[in-house]
Amino acid sequence: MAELGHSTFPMPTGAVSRPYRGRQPFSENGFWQQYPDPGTGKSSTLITFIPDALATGRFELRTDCYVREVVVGRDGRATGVLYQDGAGNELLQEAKAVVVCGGGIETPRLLLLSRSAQFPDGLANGSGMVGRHATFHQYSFAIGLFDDEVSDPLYGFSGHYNNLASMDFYETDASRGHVLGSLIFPSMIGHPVNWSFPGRPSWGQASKDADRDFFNHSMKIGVLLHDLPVESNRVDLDPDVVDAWGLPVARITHTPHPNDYAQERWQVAKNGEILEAAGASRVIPVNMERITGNTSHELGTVRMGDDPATSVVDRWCRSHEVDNLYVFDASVFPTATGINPALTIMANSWRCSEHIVRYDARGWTD
Amino acid sequence: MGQADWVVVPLDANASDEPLYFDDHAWRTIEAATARIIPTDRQPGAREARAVRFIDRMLAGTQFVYASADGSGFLRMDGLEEKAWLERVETRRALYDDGVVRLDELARSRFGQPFVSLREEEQDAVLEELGGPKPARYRLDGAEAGGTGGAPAGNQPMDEDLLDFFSLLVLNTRQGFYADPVYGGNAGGIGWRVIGFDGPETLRATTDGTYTTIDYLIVDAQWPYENDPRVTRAGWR
Repeated sequence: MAELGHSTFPMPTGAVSRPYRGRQPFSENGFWQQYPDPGTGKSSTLITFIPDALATGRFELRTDCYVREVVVGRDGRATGVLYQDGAGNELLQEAKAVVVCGGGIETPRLLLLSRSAQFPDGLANGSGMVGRHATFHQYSFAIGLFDDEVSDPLYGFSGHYNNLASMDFYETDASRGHVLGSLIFPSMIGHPVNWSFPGRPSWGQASKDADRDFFNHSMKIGVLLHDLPVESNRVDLDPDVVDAWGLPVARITHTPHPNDYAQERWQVAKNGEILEAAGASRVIPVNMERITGNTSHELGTVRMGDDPATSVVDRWCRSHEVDNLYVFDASVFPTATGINPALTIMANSWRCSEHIVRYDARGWTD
Repeated sequence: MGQADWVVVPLDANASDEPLYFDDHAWRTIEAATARIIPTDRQPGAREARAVRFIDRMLAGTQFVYASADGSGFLRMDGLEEKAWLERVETRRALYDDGVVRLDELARSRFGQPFVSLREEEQDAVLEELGGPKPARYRLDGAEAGGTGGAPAGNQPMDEDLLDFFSLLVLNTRQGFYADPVYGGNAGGIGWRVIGFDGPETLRATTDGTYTTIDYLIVDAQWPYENDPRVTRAGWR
């Protein structure tokens, strides 16, 4: 990258690299990449905030519960949630406030399922914006294959999945012919059971030879597409399909914006140039036409804004219409950003939680 | 009950090399087919890795689906979770049951013998009837090779439930060669050794800190790594 005039930095990774608060850094092998870590290496909420919250004695975790509706009172405020527990019992939990954090697909689904006389089109959906402007961070990449007679093995399975990143292509550059940009980052292609590339022989001697020749002589450089919010790209309730609880499943309607195609095509080609400079003998662009629906994150479906006509929640992630209903996941992102959203989700949740405690909770009575 | 609280049943997918789902003929037929999908050459192939046992355990029910993180057994599924998984297993059983019949029909009509009795080239010819031309050797400067079935284009999950028999067989054979040995295939990690993946001895080793790839890392290299002379030296012959 330095030879090409580009800058890089160590990729922030949500994992401990040394013992920390009783957690062990067992993930230097990257083995649990794409899987829940049964140990304590990866900094998932289950390992970090939830144990702290439980230790306060003021937090109760109810697992296997399935919320089917946020219930409202005559005054239009949320009064609690209806849910089914693991044993199949229907329960009503009363609440002074409800914070929905189901992610960019299940959060709008729950709001749309929560229909009542006051909210016939779904809760907090007077604007009709619940479920709209879905963005998905399509993950595309260029693969580099290295000739084993020229290059030493890369051993991409060692270390963390990601170690390096560049933000050099994040800002808009009009000369590229599109707006926006994103983070790029190199990685191995996958662990043996998932490892593959387009055009790989699928069976027979040729398949085994390709696995043997290229498993340790391959890598990719990915792009997390900074996709544009489009109103017609949406999550709504499926008219035909129901889940095991008899509730309509989420239906997703999505067509990439022309700028998404242009941005992705340019960046994947650029990533290929970087791989060539690194010595790859063959570069394979893996554009979204080849891996349709390869999404990384679900965002934007309960967008944040000042105008109740065009957004669902305000700048404190509180519903414009129901003043004790909040959404604290990536559904509130008005635009997708071109980076992984977890840290932003966490920071925003702290910010908005503090606002609830300082201001909104003042009016609550026991 | 959260998944972390599921009961661990001390089951071993490798306890025997006998079928739990297949009958003897189906077991030998699928074993022969896997051996053409990842053949034995100077190194072991799907037959030695016991890919057929991996597939058999997958079809046996829901008892070998979730290995416990420490490798001591499998999580017992129940309720809606198990019900949904059983639907999937039943779909796959039907694909494999019909698939074995189809392999034999094709084998008999072309070569007058059941699939398992054919020579390797004849078995390949039968597989080509189902999955199209057998892929040719991949060349860095050649056209893309391709072929039916197998892993998806990237490292992302795919919906196996939508595959036809041949594509599922190719994918499952690959899984039986490269998945963790706890699931009944990749016996002794031989699939991993063929491609040079230095995987964990046991699943437990990935959770107790004994599995490490530290030998492949330059531990005290300083950022920016590409300026570290030991890193610069690596990579080129």
